[in-house]
Amino acid sequence: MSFKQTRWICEAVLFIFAFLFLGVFNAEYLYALQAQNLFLANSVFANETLAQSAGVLVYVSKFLNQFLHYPLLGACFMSAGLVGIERLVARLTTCDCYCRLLSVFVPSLLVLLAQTSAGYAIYDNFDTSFAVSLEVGLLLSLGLANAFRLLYAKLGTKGLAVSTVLAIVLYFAIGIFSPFSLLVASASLFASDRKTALHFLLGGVALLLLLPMLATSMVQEDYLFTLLGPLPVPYFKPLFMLAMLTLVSVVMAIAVPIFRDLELMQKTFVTPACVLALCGLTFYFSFRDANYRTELEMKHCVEDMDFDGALKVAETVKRPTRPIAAYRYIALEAKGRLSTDLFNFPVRYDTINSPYTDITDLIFQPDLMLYSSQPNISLLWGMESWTNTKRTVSDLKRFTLTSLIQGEAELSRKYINQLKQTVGYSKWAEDFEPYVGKQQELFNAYPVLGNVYRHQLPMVNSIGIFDLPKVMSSYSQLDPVNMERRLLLHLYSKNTNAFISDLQTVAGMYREKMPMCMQEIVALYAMNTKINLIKYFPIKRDVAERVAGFVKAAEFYAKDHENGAEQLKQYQGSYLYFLLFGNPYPNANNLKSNK
Amino acid sequence: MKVKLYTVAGLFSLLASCSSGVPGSFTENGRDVCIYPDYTNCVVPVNIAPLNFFVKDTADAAVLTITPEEGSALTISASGKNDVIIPEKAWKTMLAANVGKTLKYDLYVKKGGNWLHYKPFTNTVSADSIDPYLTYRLIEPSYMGTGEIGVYQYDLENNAEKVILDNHRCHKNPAIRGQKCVNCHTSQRNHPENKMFYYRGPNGGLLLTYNGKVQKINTRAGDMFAGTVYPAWHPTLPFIAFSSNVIKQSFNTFEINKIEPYDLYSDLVLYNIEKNEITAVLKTRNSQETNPNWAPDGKYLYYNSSDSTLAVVGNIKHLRYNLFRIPFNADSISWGKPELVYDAASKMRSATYPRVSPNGRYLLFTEADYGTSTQTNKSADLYMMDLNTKEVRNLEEINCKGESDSYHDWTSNSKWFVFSSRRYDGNYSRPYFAHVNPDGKVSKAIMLPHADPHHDINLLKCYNVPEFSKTPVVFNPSDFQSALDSPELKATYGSPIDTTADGISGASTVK
Repeated sequence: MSFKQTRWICEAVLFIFAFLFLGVFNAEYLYALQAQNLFLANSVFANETLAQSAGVLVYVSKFLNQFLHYPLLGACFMSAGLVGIERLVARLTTCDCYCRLLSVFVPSLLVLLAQTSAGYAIYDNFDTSFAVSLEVGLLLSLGLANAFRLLYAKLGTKGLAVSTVLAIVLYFAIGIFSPFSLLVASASLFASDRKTALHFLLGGVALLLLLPMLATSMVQEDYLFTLLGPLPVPYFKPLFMLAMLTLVSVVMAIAVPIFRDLELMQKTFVTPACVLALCGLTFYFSFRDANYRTELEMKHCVEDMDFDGALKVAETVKRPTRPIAAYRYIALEAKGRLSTDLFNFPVRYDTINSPYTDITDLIFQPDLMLYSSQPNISLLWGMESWTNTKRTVSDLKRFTLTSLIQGEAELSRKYINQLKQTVGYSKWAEDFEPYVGKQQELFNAYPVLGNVYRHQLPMVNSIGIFDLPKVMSSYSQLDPVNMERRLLLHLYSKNTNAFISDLQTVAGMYREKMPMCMQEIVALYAMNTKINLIKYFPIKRDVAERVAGFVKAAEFYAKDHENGAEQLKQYQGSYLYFLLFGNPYPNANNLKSNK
Repeated sequence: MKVKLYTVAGLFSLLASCSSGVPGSFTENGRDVCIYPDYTNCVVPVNIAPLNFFVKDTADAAVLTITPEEGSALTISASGKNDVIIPEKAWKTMLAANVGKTLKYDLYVKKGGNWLHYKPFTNTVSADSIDPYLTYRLIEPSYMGTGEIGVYQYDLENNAEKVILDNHRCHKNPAIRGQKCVNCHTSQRNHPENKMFYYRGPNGGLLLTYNGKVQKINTRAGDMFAGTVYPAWHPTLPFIAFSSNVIKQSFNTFEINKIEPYDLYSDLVLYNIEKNEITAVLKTRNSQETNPNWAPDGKYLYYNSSDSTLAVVGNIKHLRYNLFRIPFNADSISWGKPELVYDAASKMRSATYPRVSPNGRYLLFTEADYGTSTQTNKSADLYMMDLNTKEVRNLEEINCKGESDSYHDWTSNSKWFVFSSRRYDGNYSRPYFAHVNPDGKVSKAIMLPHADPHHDINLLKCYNVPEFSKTPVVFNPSDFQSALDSPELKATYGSPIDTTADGISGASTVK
């Protein structure tokens, strides 16, 4: 097999792996990258975006990022871009041996690793179009480096000057990738023309240091943003490190001399196998947290009002996180199964696998509040996310729903007009447009939104950023639907005293039929306090016996919940099992390391 | 530095307008035009930039002809999404030649291959010019977090926006994420080069531009329970009156007023710039004073004061404000006895934001059902008192029932005022201008024009506290940033400390 054929095979391996890894394995992640971003085709958005450092690149990346709405399409162009990076890196060096061939694949795979490692940063103040801007920026850098080499070859010293001027001008459009292209040009001439390489190097370093100082007074940004834009700031440590490593790997792949090829590498399929192994390492080091992936899928389902889909995804969960529990709660609420199935779920919770725990609530609270008939509070949480992290199309969709539910016609129209400017949501916006100012028609078409509206509480209550149990507890009187929600939230918060207290005020609601979880706690209360509430409620005998059995069995595991939860699995699904072993608010300090 | 895409669009429009004309045949449809912004049948200042708009009706094409009383007609073909972009030079020439006269607008819209001619409308060109600069804050309609926020200056004669200072420097970096807020800008009426605004949050302070120098000042001094908030610069002297407020917000779970800011405590203080000294103006226990505004001669300070405190009434909906004024003696820097100017509370209403016209003729204020922060209160409307006759009237001709009309300011010639209103969508406030004729009649309000008529439809931020200025801001954001990075100048306190405050009754010191 010729060197050329080997290279093609290697490129095919890279393309196929990247396509499958992005488009299949990370399909939900790609979808989330675009849902947690915003591109609008209007002059206000263009002016705002272009005015920031690397504005043109960010603008283009945000535009392309929209196509990740269709993960296979997104994966296709991103994989092609990775092959393009490999091609351009190879072009900038003398790629005539197998060791070199292998090394030119490293930058592309590091880009792929960076693209798939954002994790929970996607919910923070992190521009998720980074996955595209890193790739497009590198392609531009490498292309420019090639052009600078050609300019130097044709014009000599003048070519060097023209290259530097071009780099200065382009800095305001593509940020760090502009001076970086001078560094890449330097690396490519390192072996053949050290003197010119030094000139490019000095030019690149000088621009890298000086241009941000000039730009920072013009773009009104934090200096680090100006210096690094559009790459992430060090706050997002893993992503920052990966981005830096990628840039270093490009320079290394081009500049480091290879004196002797390894004979083994020349054997058929050894180099492709090595590329495949590198792909394997990329997969291994990528962020693959199972709960994170589940959350992405459930959030997607809920945003599409596919509540059955969300519940199906939840069935696979072993140790849920708060966002998973919240999305399951929303789906159960929407399907009218809250009282029967809320506690029929694993009870040992994990914290989210992220150092960015302060944004945990922003992930799910706006949706949770919306489907719990609190559209104003949903808006409050949504605006917190919108202003404190970033503007997202996901928030814009929810704002639209909220305004439609509230009958705010012009506001709905405004949001719908914005969404119609996007690639992925214009159809959604058009679907909802007929309901502007037509609440009843909306509620007929989407009964779940009708429930949201109907069960809003017709009273004013002034509260702040609280979680749902606190919101519901803040009312003095509630209608039956909301009272049941409150009772269940008391149970979820393990606030049994509040539950019993509220239950006694609405005893009539459960004279004939009572959810199993409530029967259990009433039976337990009767056992513990000798106050026989059982006679007032339809508590089944087998439930009382089961409670007694559980209490007896659980005595052994009062201090060993992990083991107890395992040993008493036959009680899983009961409220008492949740009450004793559940940790729905896991210790935020008990963080796992961020892979 | 913003790239003005619409400059290019305007050029294309100009080219298009040269090549197209009024349709040869058309049908009269007898309907009023449906355009955004609504610039029909209004009074326009002689120096305003082109009032560009777009046709809201679904249409294949549109042509507008503006026929002035003096000079030749101007025909414009709509570009893009039926955007009518009026060539700036031709517009200005036309306005200059038609002062006191009318412009007739004929709009032709093409639908399904047929041209329709809408009912013509007119605009009257007023000889009264508008102050050329409008300063405002752009803020998302957020509830707690400030988000990306900044103070901007808009050139009303050329449709160009300039950043004075924004918080984007720190907002984008979550490592230094915090409540960085830019707010409460104002300038001295007769020396508009003197300006001030706040940059809140860590390392923030009052940014004062005075006598060509920018300084960062900490105006919280003595026994003040909070820093200074709402400012009023004396028209000629180096004094700024401030209210000092403890502001809270109420988030309503159900009501259509989703958020209600309110004061827990507020008093008035005076900052003497040259002495760098704060002194108390009003320290009261049973009421709250806020929103100061000087009379044009600087001899009175107007403000609004509550009839009680929240601690007493228990509900912000029972807290109402009246308008007062207090005499000021500039020679002795002393204050007289407060005088009631307008009693709203007795009518179960609340009057706030008193703004006296620079000619001293009118007092413009906001009246609502309750409270002092009326920018989110849907019952807030503009009212005007004729200070000669003391007659007060609801400016029904410009108010929007059911939406907030608030935050107003006069031009230096007292012929125009600006106010912000949420009338279009209930959520995003926009600045509107209105002309006051010699009889005190107010013309139809016109929205701030833009080069891109879709600008405010697409802008997901509110215009906050619009204020006129005759001169532009001469400092750059980097000058303000340098001041922010410098040590603050701490104001001294020149009034006695109140040692008897209990922290509950609304006295100046909250313990």
